[in-house]
Amino acid sequence: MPETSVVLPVFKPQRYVRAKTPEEVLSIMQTYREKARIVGGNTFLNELAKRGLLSDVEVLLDIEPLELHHLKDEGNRVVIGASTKIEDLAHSPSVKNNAALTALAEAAQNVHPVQIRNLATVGGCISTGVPFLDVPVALLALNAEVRVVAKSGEKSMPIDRYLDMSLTDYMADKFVKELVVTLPRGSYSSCFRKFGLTGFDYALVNVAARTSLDINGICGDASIAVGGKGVELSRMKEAEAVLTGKPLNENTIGAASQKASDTAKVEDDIPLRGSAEYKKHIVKVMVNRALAETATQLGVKNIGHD
Amino acid sequence: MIEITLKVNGQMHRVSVEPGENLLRTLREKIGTRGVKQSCDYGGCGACTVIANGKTVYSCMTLSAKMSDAEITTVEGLETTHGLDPLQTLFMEKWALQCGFCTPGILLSSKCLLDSNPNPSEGEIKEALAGHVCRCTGYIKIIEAVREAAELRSRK
Ligand SMILES: Cc1cc2nc3c(=O)[nH]c(=O)nc-3n(C[C@H](O)[C@H](O)[C@H](O)COP(=O)(O)OP(=O)(O)OC[C@H]3O[C@@H](n4cnc5c(N)ncnc54)[C@H](O)[C@@H]3O)c2cc1C
Ligand code: FES
Ligand code: FES
Repeated sequence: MPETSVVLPVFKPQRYVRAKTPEEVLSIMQTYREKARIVGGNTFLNELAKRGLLSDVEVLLDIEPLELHHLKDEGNRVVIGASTKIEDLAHSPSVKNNAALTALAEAAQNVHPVQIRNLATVGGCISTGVPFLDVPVALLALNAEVRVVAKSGEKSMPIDRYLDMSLTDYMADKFVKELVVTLPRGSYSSCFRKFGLTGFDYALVNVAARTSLDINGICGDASIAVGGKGVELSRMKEAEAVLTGKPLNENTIGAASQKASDTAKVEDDIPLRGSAEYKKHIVKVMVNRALAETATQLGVKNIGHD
Repeated sequence: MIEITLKVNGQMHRVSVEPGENLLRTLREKIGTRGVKQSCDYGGCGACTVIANGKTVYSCMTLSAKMSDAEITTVEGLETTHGLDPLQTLFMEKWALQCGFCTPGILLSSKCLLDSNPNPSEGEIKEALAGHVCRCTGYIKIIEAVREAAELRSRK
């Protein structure tokens, strides 16, 4: 067979701007729209460029001079700058040593390999518009707020809204400055679990969960988020409702996992790695494991999982 | 074109780069460090790995313009006036390479690992080298060579 070679459109931006102020970023984005791209670690943009999808990009916008590398522990909340590397998030003591936030550090640790964690940024990873990355799922379960800079000033918005917008739109009117994760009061535990074809694959299904337990052994607050290849990135509200106001045990966790599986929106797609039935099964198993882990961390004894 | 300064293997270089140019191209074509290998060009093989400011990165997706003032180590920088780095000698002695195409990247990831974690477990070695593909050795010999380099360092 003769080889057929496809010539892809080339990526050849003409300008590289080190933006010194947020106003400069916004003004270039508004002038050039899709033809200007903010560069974080470039790990995702590179993939688009090499697939021939960024041939119309004229300007690369480097936001490094805005110095958004902070990861601040403010006691009742953690503030993470958009340029923070995934590797720094993975090892931040304020994140990994706090039971209510561990899921976020675990998600960052699950981004493989280390060469990617050393480049990829938090701002970039929530702005790719794909539903199967690890850190966004954890941010969703932890109710993170995204602080964006827009023409009208700085604004906060819930992570689910930001992710929805980045899944559907190119945003020329705002960019991410930082993420804020507020610590809930009470006894909380959180956990992230990923299922891929290999340990270093993108997630077929990833799950982040956080639960609380009061002194009477009742779960006051549960949050569960799922994502994956062909799995809608979303909170599992109905599954959360199964747990709130109930004790955490094998039965309640089993029922919540079943509900998550029943309500998860999955695509029946072989290129996206499997049938709907298969993905729903994996959602159930992974939600079960994540919830069982949070319950065990909260001191609940004898919780098994499949 | 953008003027940037790079410190590569201890030497300062001033080079002009295009806005979308990656570090792989800058290093190979403008600075001449051909030990940096290009294979997949999208993050699937690790052959292009270099150390930038103490951390391993894939140079095939690192924007050169973003790296101004960075300190880069390529495989050419491992050798000192005392000779090859012990990792290099051990890779040869232990048969941790055959064709050698993956070797520069793997050596740099191994060096970075041992610099921050002088006594890594087998799991930690595997994690540090997970971003590399080797089509020849089957990996076992590589892991053994890194282990031995760690032991050699601890005896010194
Ligand atoms: C080999 C490889 C392996 C990977 N493995 C994993 C894995 O195991 N798990 C996982 O979750 N992910 C994985 N990824 C994906 C990786 O997490 C994403 O590519 C990364 O998070 C994107 O971040 P970045 O900083 O590199 O973004 P960039 O590529 O720089 O940018 C991505 C998008 O975000 C926009 N953007 C960047 N910063 C901002 C900002 N501050 N405000 C608004 N928009 C912004 C850019 O314009 C662009 O549209 C892998 C990627 C590669 C190449
Ligand atoms: S050439 Fe960079 S990872 Fe393969
Ligand atoms: S030695 Fe040939 S690819 Fe590794």
